[in-house]
Amino acid sequence: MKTRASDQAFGALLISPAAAFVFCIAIYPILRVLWLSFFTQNLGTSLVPKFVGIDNYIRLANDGHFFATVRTTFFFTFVSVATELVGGLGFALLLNHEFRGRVVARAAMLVPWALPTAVLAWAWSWIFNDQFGVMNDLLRHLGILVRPIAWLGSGSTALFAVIFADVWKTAPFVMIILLAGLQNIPGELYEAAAIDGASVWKRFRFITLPLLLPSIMVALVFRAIQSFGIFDLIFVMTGGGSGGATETLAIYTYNTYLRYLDFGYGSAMIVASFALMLIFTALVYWPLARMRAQFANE
Amino acid sequence: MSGGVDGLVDGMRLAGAALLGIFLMANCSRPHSSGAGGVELSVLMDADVDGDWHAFIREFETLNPGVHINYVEGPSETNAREDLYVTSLLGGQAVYDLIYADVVWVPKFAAAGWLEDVTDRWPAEHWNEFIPGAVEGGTYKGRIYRVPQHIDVGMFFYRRDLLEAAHEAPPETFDDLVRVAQKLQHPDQLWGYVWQGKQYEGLICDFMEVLTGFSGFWINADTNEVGLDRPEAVRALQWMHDTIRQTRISPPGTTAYTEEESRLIFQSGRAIFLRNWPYVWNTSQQVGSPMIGKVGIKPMPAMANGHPSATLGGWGMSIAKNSRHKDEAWKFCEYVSALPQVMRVQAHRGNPPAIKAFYENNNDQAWRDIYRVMETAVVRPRIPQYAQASDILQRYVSATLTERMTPVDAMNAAAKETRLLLGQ
Amino acid sequence: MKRAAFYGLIWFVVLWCLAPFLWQIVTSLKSNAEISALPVTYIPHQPSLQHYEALFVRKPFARYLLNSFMVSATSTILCVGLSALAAYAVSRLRMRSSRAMLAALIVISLFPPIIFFFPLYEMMRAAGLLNNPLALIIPYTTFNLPFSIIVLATFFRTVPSDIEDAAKVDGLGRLQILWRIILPLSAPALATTAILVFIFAWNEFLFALTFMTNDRMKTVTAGIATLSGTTVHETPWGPIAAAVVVSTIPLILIVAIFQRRIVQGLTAGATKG
Repeated sequence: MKTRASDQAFGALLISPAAAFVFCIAIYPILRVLWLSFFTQNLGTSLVPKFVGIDNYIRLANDGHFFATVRTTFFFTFVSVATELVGGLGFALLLNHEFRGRVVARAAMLVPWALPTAVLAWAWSWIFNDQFGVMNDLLRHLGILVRPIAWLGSGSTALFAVIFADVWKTAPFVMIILLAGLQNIPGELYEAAAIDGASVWKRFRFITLPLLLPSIMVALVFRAIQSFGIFDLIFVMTGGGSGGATETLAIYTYNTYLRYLDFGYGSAMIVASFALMLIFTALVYWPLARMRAQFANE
Repeated sequence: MSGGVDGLVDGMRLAGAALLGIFLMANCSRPHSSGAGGVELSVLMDADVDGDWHAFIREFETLNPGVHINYVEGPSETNAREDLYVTSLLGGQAVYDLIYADVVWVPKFAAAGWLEDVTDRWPAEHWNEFIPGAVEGGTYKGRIYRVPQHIDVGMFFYRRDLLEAAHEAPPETFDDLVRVAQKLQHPDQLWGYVWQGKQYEGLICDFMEVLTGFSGFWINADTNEVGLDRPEAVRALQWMHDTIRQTRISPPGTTAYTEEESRLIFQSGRAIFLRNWPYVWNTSQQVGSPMIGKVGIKPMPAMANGHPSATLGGWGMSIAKNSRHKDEAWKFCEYVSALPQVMRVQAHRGNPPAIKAFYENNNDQAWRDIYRVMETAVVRPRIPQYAQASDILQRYVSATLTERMTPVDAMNAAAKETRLLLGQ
Repeated sequence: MKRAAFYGLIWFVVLWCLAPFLWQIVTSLKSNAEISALPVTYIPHQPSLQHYEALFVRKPFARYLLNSFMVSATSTILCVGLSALAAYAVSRLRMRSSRAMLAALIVISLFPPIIFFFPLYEMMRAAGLLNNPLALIIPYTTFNLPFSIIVLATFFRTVPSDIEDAAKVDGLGRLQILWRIILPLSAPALATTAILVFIFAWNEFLFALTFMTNDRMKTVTAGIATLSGTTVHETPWGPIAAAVVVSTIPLILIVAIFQRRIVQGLTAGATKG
């Protein structure tokens, strides 16, 4: 008779390849980055690692550009995720009906998520081109613009363009998550509410929102973490320009590693960014968790 | 229906697996040297618009049978190509044998041990045939790592016709420049002085000329001393800032200009003075240009007690230390840096050759003027951490020009960060 | 009236989702002169395939596509294979603390790749794997393992145990049970996982950009970035548009055919979390 111990052993065997991959490729690098952050390894040391304790962190604390990129990253993440959420929720509510062509519509809405960000970023650069771009052209036709805007050539407009492109891609993804959550809400609840004469807003506030909150929280945490490390889109669209206005932490870190060859400093930057990312995600998660508890009491 | 599709997917995947396994084994990082006993060298450059380089390659291959040069076309932005080179070289494999290098890349690449020392491949007399600044641009800690092809220096272009009509001499000092510009300009139709103020490496080139003109310095490469927070540097930055905001001899859009924008303004007759590179001489005197015969060139102005200076730029060919075919690569370096080849590139793109013989006894006065400018050449600090130092300075200069910081604050912050960078 | 507004909104959203891609198709068919002409034209006057030709002639773009396909397909197979094994262990063989472990792994797999990038680069370099497809295949597989394991484990749990018990009575070994019974029954979940991994691998950029420096080994995401212009200063918008279209058409097809699976896969992971 096969024993539980034998089962466990067999299970361990089956898991081991996957576990090995995850340990080597995911766990070890995190530890290595932490380790490397206490060393200076750059061209000044002839690319030889030299132990310096917390010097890299001190340098980071004095790095004006680091703080600028932190601000940019926070701003980008906050605006982007908030917009995606609202947009995604809107799309989901829209799509939560039966209608002809729903399958086609849903397929179309998957396209932004499925296409490579780094490739579409070229498409967006072209759309936001100051002379021949569609964005300027459409705004001109709508009578909103008189003179063309150099979207990617000026700090604040470049940030707007990048956020726009990001929301385009991620709002549909949020929609998918929320739509699944919506479809899990039993229709009888709405029917009962309709019988009771509840308004659209009341139905949303007391049925949809509380029951959708778990999905919203999941989508939010996913997106906040990913948005914090945004790289592909910005690298291709602006490279961190104009004038560093769209330079996020990931881009600055990449440049520190590969352009400056400052490996120890880059690692310290990763550790600091990671800590900030956790803080940001917690800040985003907490209010929602409280809201959820509040709803549970209602 | 669903089961059928899934079964198909399953079957396809298995078949694909087998095929791919074979493919993978056959294709895994096949070294790029051709197996047929020939030598293949790779180099990464921008688009060969005029076909000169492909012609060089064909000629070289004819002269050296068995050697094939793989011209990999890369993006036109210098920084992007630098990144591509750095990731390849850092990886340790000889992806590229030849490196077409900018002057500012050499300290970094040489310090990282990626470039072959070519000092002894030619006797000193041969190296002396090149303009000293061009050779220096390929040097690090006294050793030569790059054969110069052409040399660039920042130059001052002026409208000879407008100055003569107003009985003004071309300005020698910054004050003169401002005075004449303010006197003759009609802002929007005719600006006084156009230059490159966008946040990129070109901004540093412009800034260095003004800085040296004020007798300031950025980083002393030998001692790592930083001179950014000294009064001269602050005054230099203030002067640049004022051209846009106070003396108003430069258009407000200057903070977005690179070489091309400023050149087009000058070449269409909408500016009196221009700071740019020698290629503008070629483009402005081409058939069809409205500026034929109207342009004069001279070194940049300076303070009355300062030194006119021209930021040194230029490109040349280096050999990767990891290359397995260094001798063949060297032959290619020799070939493309020879005067006939360099002159062909110059005829199309206007880049000044790095060989002295081209200028001495040149019938064209313009080239002798350009040579005079080369004598005022200054190099950007030859430190390995140049890219970082440049990015730091770019941010603070740009912040001042866009009025986000005062010159004093900007220079103090820049000096502090630069010192931390250099480990002080 | 309300219906018209509703459908109008749907149309708007659909157009919004497809617009950048459609605009790239239009741009790719215009001549260079028309691309840099004002006012902007929305229908090409003389559509031509010149940019597509230029794309494949001047750069080894067909090679980039092949590399992308090879890396993506291999990652998919490897990931699905490894995660099937692990998922079976997790779902059937009653391992302790598997839920917490998997939750931790999912969170790790969400971390932005910049966190792992440099140590992985060091590793690949030390192993001599730079410019080898394995340098990409291994990380792509790894980052999709947690998610795949959860999707498959969830699905495996729904397979009734009597089928397995009957097979055991018949004398089948555990691996045989997995291969001959569980996997075929799980084909939908396997397909879902495979599609999601494939899309991830095809779209990845940071590692592709840094680990593959030899031009011939690049994937499309990195290869597009190396396109250059016909003059020194301009960006080649025509060939880039052609490149965008060519690189993304496989994915559009995948979405069109497998959209139901994709949605199932994405939501399975989300609701599990």
